[in-house]
Amino acid sequence: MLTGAVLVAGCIAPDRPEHRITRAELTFTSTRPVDVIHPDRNRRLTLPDAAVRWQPINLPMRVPRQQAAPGEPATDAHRVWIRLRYVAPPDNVEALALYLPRLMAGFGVEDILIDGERIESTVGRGGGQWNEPLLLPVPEAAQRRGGFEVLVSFWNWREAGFMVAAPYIGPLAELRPLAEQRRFLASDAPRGLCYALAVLGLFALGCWWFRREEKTYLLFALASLVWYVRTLHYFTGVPAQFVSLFFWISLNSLSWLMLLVYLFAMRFQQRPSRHVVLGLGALIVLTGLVTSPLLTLPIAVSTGIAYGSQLLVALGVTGLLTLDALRRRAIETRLMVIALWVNLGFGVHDLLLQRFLLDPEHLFLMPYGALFLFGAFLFAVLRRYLAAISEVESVNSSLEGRLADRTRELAVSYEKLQRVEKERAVIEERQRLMREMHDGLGSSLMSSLVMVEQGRLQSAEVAKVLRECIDDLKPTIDSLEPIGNDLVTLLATLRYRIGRRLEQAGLQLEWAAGDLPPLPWLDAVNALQVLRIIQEALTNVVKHANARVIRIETDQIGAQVRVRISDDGVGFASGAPEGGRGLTNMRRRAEQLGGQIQLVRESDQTQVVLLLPIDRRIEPRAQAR
Amino acid sequence: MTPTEVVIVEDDAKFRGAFAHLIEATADMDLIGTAANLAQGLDLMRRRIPDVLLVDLDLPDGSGLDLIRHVAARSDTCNIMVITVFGDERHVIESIEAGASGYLLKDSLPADFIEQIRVLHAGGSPISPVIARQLLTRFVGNSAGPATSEVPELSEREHSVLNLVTKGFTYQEIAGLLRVSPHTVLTYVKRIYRKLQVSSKTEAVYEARKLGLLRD
Repeated sequence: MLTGAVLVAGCIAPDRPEHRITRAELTFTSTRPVDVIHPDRNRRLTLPDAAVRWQPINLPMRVPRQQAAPGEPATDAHRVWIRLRYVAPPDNVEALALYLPRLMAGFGVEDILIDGERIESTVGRGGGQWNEPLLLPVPEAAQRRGGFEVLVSFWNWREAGFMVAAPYIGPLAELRPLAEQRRFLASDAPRGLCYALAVLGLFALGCWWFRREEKTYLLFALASLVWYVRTLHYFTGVPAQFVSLFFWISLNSLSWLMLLVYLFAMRFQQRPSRHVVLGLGALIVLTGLVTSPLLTLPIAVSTGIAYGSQLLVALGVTGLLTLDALRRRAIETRLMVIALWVNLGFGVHDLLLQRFLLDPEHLFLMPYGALFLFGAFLFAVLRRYLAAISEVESVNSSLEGRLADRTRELAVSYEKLQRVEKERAVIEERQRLMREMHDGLGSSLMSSLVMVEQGRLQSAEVAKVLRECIDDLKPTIDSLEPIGNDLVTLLATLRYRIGRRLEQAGLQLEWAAGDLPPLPWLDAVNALQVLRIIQEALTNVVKHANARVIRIETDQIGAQVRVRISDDGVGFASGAPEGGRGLTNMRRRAEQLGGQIQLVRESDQTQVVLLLPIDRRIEPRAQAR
Repeated sequence: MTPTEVVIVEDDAKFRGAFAHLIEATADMDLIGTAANLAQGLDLMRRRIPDVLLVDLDLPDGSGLDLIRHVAARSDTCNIMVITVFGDERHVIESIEAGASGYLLKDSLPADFIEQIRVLHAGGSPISPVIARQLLTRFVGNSAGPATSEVPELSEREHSVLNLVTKGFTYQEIAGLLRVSPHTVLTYVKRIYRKLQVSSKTEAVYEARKLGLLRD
């Protein structure tokens, strides 16, 4: 849209035609070449003398290159004078101004005088007034006189050609918007664009710096920097001593840009053709060398070579990419080709303007070509970026998918493991019960059965055997109850079961169960072992000790818990053989649990002490201490 | 003093006979009926609810729990005792939740048998350490549950009693440790049983509400 506005602004009929001055006079004066090459801003101007002949001309005036203006002298360098008269409307009270849209000549040296007084000089600014419009207030003295004479003067040489737009003289308030609009389009907007591109270029350069394998960013950065350099001269004056260097760089930059464009576009197609790149590179370098300021070729020759080579490179790259875009239809390349063609059109327009073949009020369009070219560049980079993001997303989602798969697999194998574990537990449980049945219940029942069959057992004895069997079964049941690894609760169940029995046997039970930490290893299997140990100890007391008081205590000693069963009986030393066997069993069971049994006999007390580890995993270390 | 009315619901004829014999031999107890299955038991209960109901859980035509619920819903005064072989945690808790307030082991010595019925009738049946432990976790679990406001919480004293039971202390010893009378401990126990019934009912109501079976 902006470009459209520029094109329109470049070609539309001038605004405020009532202030436009189209009639003027032209003359030439001779000068020394040194004044042209080293102009002095403070030098007094020698005005054309009265004898000089003035030619009437129409403005805007264009004298194309290799042509001579009417009356142009044959000398190489000379001064061109354009004179116009202005008569203010009789009722004018407003401040007046002179607005000159464009003046282009071989050298950028311009002076503007009103009634012989110099009001503007671009001498020494380098580059001169070729792109930026001039808006000059008319001195008050001249305004008071009601009418004045304007002289526009500049250096030129024969057949270099020049171009002067029709100036406007009128109220400053009316001309200022015109001048400002033109300044914006010709200079400010290109400058903004140029800086924006430079920033983008630096950003891309940063991207490339941290991701060296992404050459696309580097190409983008280089292209935008080259463009920046290339566009500088539209709005920046250059010190005189750098003019030729600056001119050289500007002249060659376009070819480099085209090469970068080619390389950039090729990143979205295929590998760039090595021959094309080498050929273009060689041509560009050669052109650069030939046009270098060190070689001091005539300026017409070097610019001719430069423009010719540039045209070749531009047409070559655009042609190659166009073919490619037609063949492969990558959207990035197609957009880039469109941008290139637009730029080519702009370039031709600007070349014609530069050769004074178009109206001087036209604007240079090349600075706006960046909008298209870098728009296409950005589009390509953006697509690459979006593609990268969606790739990351798809990688993520596939990762998630894989994670879900793994989780499922894990769940399946966990289930399998659980099943195996359950089966193992069932088998263990079965083996445990078998062992129990075999040792205790089974053998009791079996021997009783034999005796009953042989008629050797009285019914009271049968009842006793059966009761013993049931008593034997109860710890098994209790060991399966949920006790939360609490040894105290386990012992409590035992008391709950046999407490009354003990009392009926004439034993007084003293219960002193202190709090104990949970024992992580106290599962059903181990709980039964503990119950058996305690049961054995109690049975021994009941059967053999002749005791009256039995005391059960629990406490914690370091990394162990202690269960003490003490009685006031006759002691184990005089115990029957069963007592001895019972003790061996207790020892064996305690060792299986990682604990130990101690027997203590002191004064009238017999004490069975069961020591059990709290955490069986750290037991070896605890013992080592 | 009127004798305690007792009903026995037990499918095993030998046990039933033995229990009946024990009760009939006791002067202050009056056996007003026996049943061999759930249907007969329900029939008896419809006619007259006794002071003490002894019921086996495994009946040929259904679960003794149904009979317990039936009675608990109709009587506050009937003490229900479950007859069980081992007094294992699952059966006992279920029974208490249904409304029973104690259990009898089938192999109890004859002297114990009558004594336990007396204790039950007087206040509360002894709780085994494992059962007490389960009750503790159950009430703690409830207080963190969604129906907190409707589930009764244990008082500090009730909590202490349960805690001491898990450590194996008898009611007598607990009374000493807490410096209260044995009768008071029995009262606490009875309250705990009641609360467990309430909480199980509340839970059932809560579940039913969740399922949309019940409208307020």
